[in-house]
Amino acid sequence: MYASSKNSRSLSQALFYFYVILILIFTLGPLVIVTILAFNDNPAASFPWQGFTLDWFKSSTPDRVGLFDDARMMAAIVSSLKVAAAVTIISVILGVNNAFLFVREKFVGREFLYMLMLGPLVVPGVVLGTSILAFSHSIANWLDQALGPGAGIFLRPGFWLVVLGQVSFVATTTTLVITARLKRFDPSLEEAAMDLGATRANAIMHITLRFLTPAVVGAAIIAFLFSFQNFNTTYFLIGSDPTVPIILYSRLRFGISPEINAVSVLLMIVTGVLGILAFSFQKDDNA
Amino acid sequence: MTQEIDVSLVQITKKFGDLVAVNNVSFDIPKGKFFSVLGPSGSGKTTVLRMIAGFETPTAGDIYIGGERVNDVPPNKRRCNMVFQRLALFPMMNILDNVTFGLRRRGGINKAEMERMAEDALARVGLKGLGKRRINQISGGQQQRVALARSLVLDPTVLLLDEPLGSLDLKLRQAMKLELKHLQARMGTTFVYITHDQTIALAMSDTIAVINLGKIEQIASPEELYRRPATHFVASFVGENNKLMAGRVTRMLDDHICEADFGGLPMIGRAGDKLKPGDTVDLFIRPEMILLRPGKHENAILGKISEINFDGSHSLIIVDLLESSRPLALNVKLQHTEEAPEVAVGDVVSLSWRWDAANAFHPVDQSHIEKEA
Amino acid sequence: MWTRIKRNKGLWALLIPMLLWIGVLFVLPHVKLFILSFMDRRSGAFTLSNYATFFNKSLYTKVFIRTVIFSIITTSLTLAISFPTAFIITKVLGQKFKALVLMAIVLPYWISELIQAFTWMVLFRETGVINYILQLLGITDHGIEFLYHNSTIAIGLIYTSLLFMIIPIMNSLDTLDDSLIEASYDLGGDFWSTMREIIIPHAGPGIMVGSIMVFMLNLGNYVTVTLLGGKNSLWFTEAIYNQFIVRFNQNQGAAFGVILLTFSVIFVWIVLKITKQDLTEAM
Repeated sequence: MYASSKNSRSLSQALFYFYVILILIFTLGPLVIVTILAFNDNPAASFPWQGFTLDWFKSSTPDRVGLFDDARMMAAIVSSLKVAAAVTIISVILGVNNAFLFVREKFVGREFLYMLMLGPLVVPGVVLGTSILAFSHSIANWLDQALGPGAGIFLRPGFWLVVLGQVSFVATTTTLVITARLKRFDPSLEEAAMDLGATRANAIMHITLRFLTPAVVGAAIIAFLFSFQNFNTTYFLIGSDPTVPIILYSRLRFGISPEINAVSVLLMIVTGVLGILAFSFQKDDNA
Repeated sequence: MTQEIDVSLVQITKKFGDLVAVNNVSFDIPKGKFFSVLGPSGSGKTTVLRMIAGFETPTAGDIYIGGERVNDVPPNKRRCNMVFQRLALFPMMNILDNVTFGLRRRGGINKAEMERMAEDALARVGLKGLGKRRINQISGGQQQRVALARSLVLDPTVLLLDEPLGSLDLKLRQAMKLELKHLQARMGTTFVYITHDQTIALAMSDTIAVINLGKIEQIASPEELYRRPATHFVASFVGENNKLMAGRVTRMLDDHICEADFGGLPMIGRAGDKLKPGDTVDLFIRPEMILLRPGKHENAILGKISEINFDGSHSLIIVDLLESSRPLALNVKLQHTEEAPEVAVGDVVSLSWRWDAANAFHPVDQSHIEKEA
Repeated sequence: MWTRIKRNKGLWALLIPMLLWIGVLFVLPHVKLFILSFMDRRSGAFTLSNYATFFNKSLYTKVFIRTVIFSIITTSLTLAISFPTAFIITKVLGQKFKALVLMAIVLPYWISELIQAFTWMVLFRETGVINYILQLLGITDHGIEFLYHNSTIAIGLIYTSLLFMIIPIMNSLDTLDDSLIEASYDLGGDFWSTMREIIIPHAGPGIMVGSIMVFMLNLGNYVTVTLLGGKNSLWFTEAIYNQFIVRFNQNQGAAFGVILLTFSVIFVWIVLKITKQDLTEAM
């Protein structure tokens, strides 16, 4: 860094930049190639380039089904969206709840509970999924026996089980994000509000929750993304309505179709936009 | 008497883009002396130090250390070492490893010898036996001394100090001031100390270079700087001063003594710039050199005490001048000696001073002065 | 007294949702898993046979050991690639490049792991992009199946783990004051000695956190390994999946899950103890 001559200094600078470019090629290269191929009029889903086409996105000929015309794929997208929405709402509420619990309240076992809460992030997704599958299985059986057949249906693999399974670890993430923000809140602001005539509930509503908003939005976006792309845990809990990762996985085991390139591009755009949004909210947060 | 020169800066300029941080600066630092560079923040003093150390390269000009041109020599090969502003001690090692770090880089010294040299350096700065402790286990003053030991163990030609006393509390700073001066005198190493705090510079240095906005204003001994400032900036920056603005030179009593009119009041002072009758001048008067006598006296300026601020060994007395058409006031520092007069608020007093207690300069652009503040 | 009850009411209002969530969705399921692993599939009686199967049937132990060693290797490779990257981003790049490069590296990670694995399939498969380029350049004359090799699995795992190693190391390096690096040079150090004695030790906590995270992610990986490894991936998570979904043997699957979990916890604990780091400190 403080090399002996101007020349070796610029040589080491050049090497450093070269390395970074290599890394960027490694990380971005595959994505660029997939994006290009999504518009490539070549049913082999590879090079050579055979012309520009939007068929993989929209086409309903018998041998070429575009993503938007693929009923099953669209259903999976809708399914993913529904799950993600539910998971986001529940996890954000839990996140705010837990943030207030850990930052504002003192109680016996608080440290222990905090460590426990980190558990879902540490445990492998496979173990999370299988444990919830096993547990819900026995509860559902018990409900069926106690209250009649079909009583435990909502705990069988399906929408609600997937939601609950994802909430188990997504709520930890939202809690961490919101807690980090709440820790930086100066409680004397609430006291000032009450001094000026607000009730405690009012003060929390208008001052504290307002302050938390960037973190809540950020946590919501992260929760949505985590939910949307989750596989390991979801795989064990899914019923007959696959989410996007599930349906992609099952199709990929049989081979690659160019439509999957198109799906990838769509997901890249959506997650990219959401990611940038989350990023910019984090930046506001640091202000 | 030729002084051996340890560090020589010849017409050094440093630009950062369009910003000229150091503007054609030249000076020599004699061997074995305590040399300070004094200036406000943003004056360029840190840049000058970093160029001597080798962390910045001059845009123009040459730097010589020990007679050898070092512009292209990287910092790890120069014969100078630096004590950083926030000390930059290595928290991942204990004190002994910190001090032997430079020795380890040199090779050819076996482990036992290195430890002996390090223990020796630590003893010299008064930290005997603390080698095995870690950085966060010692006090701020002790950390200072570890930083010193770490550099001194390498026996550098020049030791650069980037305002290391700034972060210490007042009492510790006073103590360290003296310690540093004694250390330098004992070891004979050339010290180059940069600071914005003139009390430190004045107390410790053999020579001070005052720098402002990238330019050297004056290089002189502390006493010379104090009594005979060479520029308006030095007069206003060094030491406390009364500053009377925009007087008009009425006559020159000598080559370098002038008399200036301030709203009808004549005042004498040393001519810091080349002055002639009719010039506008600012007059700087040292508050401790104003003689204050109760009542009316010949050849003195009449004033009325408006405030007395007791400050331990002296009082700061604010006197409104009575015979000027402008509202002027002077601060007088009155030492509480046996002979000091008893005065009270509202008293009429006479103020007088020797011609060389005051310095007159052409005023500078006001905006410069705002920047310094 | 009323205020005390009021305070407690507030506490319970917050505590109950939290306990419900952690209890029902985390603690109890794992308790169930644990219990299941000790139960006989048909009779429900206590048995150690599920665990015995693991230790006796050498295939399962071999797969497990392979998964562990493979993960250690990929974690090390990820570290080797990530450290220079993190260092260059934090200490070498200027401000505007830093933000740009960071965003460029982070963005792919918002895309799911599945898509990431898919992109490597597109590149590596016999009719894929790399083969196309090789044939174009005349290096080969027919397609080579690059998929389903250990190296391919490794590349996929490294790709998916990079960010989780880069970020913690970056956080560590960010706290390294530049003046420490300057002090090292001032005292005679050069690039390598500064790296060895100052920079790498300082990044220690970040390296530790990153390595643990990446190791756990790789150990528990399913999608990347099975897509890029195919039938021969021989990854332990596949064994768990097989027991639950294919063989409907929850008890055996539970035992495998418990083994995986226990191993992860013990491994991490040992690593932390050896390097004398405190987990809470490291996080």
